[in-house]
Amino acid sequence: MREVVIPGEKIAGGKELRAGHGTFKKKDGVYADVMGLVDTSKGFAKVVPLNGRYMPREGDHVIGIIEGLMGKGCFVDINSAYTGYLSFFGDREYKIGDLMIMEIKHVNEINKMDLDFAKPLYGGKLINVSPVKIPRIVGRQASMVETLAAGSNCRIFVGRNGRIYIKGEEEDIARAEAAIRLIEREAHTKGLTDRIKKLLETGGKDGNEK
Amino acid sequence: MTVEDISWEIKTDYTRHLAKKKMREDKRKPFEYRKIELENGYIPNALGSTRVRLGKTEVIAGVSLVMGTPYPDKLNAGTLMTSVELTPIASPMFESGPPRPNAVEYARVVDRGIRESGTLDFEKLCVTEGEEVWMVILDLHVLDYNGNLFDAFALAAISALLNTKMPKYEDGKVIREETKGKLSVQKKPVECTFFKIGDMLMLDPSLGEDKALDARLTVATVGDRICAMQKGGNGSFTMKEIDELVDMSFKKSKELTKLL
Amino acid sequence: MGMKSDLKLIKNGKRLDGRKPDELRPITIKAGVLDNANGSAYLEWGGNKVIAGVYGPRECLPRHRSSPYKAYLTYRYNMAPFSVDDRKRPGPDRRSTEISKISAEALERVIEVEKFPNTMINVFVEVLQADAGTRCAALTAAAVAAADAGLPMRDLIVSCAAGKIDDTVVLDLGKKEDNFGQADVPIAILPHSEEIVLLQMDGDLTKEEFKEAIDMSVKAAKQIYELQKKALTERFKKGGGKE
Repeated sequence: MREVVIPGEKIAGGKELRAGHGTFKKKDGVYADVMGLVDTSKGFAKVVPLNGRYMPREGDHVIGIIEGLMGKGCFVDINSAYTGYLSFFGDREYKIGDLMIMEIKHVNEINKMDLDFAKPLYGGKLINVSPVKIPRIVGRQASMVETLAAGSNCRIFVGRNGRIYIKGEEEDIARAEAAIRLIEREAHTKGLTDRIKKLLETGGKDGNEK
Repeated sequence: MTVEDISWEIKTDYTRHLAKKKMREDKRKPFEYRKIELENGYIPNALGSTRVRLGKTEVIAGVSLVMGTPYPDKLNAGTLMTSVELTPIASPMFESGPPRPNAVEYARVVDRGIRESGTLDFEKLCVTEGEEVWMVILDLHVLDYNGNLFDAFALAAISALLNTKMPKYEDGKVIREETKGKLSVQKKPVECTFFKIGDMLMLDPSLGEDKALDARLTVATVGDRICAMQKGGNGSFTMKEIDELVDMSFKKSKELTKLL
Repeated sequence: MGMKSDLKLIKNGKRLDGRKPDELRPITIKAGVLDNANGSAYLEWGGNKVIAGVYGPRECLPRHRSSPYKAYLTYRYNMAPFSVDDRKRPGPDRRSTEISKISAEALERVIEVEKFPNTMINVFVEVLQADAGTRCAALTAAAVAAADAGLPMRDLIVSCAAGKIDDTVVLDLGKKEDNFGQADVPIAILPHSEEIVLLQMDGDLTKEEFKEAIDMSVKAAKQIYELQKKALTERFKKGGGKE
């Protein structure tokens, strides 16, 4: 397991390392500024956060809920401290409460964002996970989310903002959710993919239940 | 409607969908409680205290005994006051400030369950008629809100009262460090909170179910008697449903009293 | 502070509870104990029991408090009614308000609030059982909770108090020492740079005694920091989250 560091801790590796995400530089080296796992590959010292609320980034796909209409567009809640704005195109009619998956087109310096390419989501279940676990839930080249979808017979839409939408039969949705929760708890451990596959086969009975 | 209400609409849609199929999100049976953990004496310095975990809901009940003057219409009786703090640490839905309507409702319903069941012998709490009586103060504090505060608070309350020590009272002074015996608690009332989504009746709402419910019924029982009831939510129950729930509450209360 | 008594608080270098002048009471810390709060920590320090929860960054309400330059940081120190012998009425009092203010100011030195304009970060600390030194226990727990929430911080904060009893400078006053002692100096420091971000003093001290008290606290801070670190790193050994 990679090393866990806490804010203010010096990252081993000497002064040759450059300060990457989750770090700051002082005269005598690079320090972590968030609690997370250290990554010192490629000459950069990076800390991958183990927790944190979602901060909008250009290009991210997020699942949002329309919370207000204004002019030729609407405000979208993306479960972040920041709200997005989605412009309407053509005759598309959105209403308050609609759930959509969309892309963050642009983020400005005070984190105000413009959203685009919205597709509505309905008929399934919305769940919230810690946004920092999303990369593990998606997996390298979407391998993990594909395993989840195939193993549970569900369609799974993953928002980088920690929202996941699952469509399928109720028991299948429950299986997919159980597997996702397992990833959330054990994201940083080895052999996870095998445990997930096993969990999906056994129909959602969590082997970790006391 | 706040942003929060809107995002809850979406989540509760699914909860309602499951209820139509007689299913629950956490796969519980309709009248099944979540895991309950009870720890007495959680606050050792308090005269009586209990922490209850009901699923992920976590509350603490603390009992204080203060010497005071009796009410003018009951000069030989001690008093009971129940107070609930919905501290903002417990949920993004709680704000700092004076008690809101739901905090008041929780306090009064728990209070009624204890008071109407004759749990406390108020006359025993009288030290000098007309002048000095013990005031029992029950403080209910929530640390993590995940649905069903009624039952969590009620269970913590009776359990804390059951293990409350009586401080010594001598020459007009309360000597806390020396305790003499326990608070006299005569009954063990418990509360069961049921709810209805569509046509489905269930017990012990989780957070999502609390948001999705159409109507809620809390029934406090002691032995084979009903001592308090409270209906909440903006839906309704039929008489037949209420009958069914009252029967179920006698059944379920046996499970709860076993924990005390 | 300063209650009159014939009680001898320190005899032959031993305090009422057997501690040496520079000895801390036992402390345990656990992170990630609440489900709702984004970050949380439970801390026991002597007889103190505190729980800290952090929410944020989240939308800033009321709107007029939001700043385009940084997050609006709030800290609410609250004592549960059953936390003290004389039941405390629920709600903030002047003492809680003061502690909340100076603790927020301390945290603002380390939490990188500029990264979150127009938002708010809320820190809540509930004192469940009080046994002298609650504000230090609270802030120490709050720093862990903030890190647990994934907030970017320059360092943690360690808070500790020292004081004077029977003309002797001692570390970490207990309840009787606080009531009958001669001085109390709570401080909070950044463990790496030893910068002081919270400092209060009340009582009667010479300049040398004051310096001695500060030095004692700074030295003890290192021990407390190790416990904070352990609480955070252990969070992830079991898989994290409330069981």
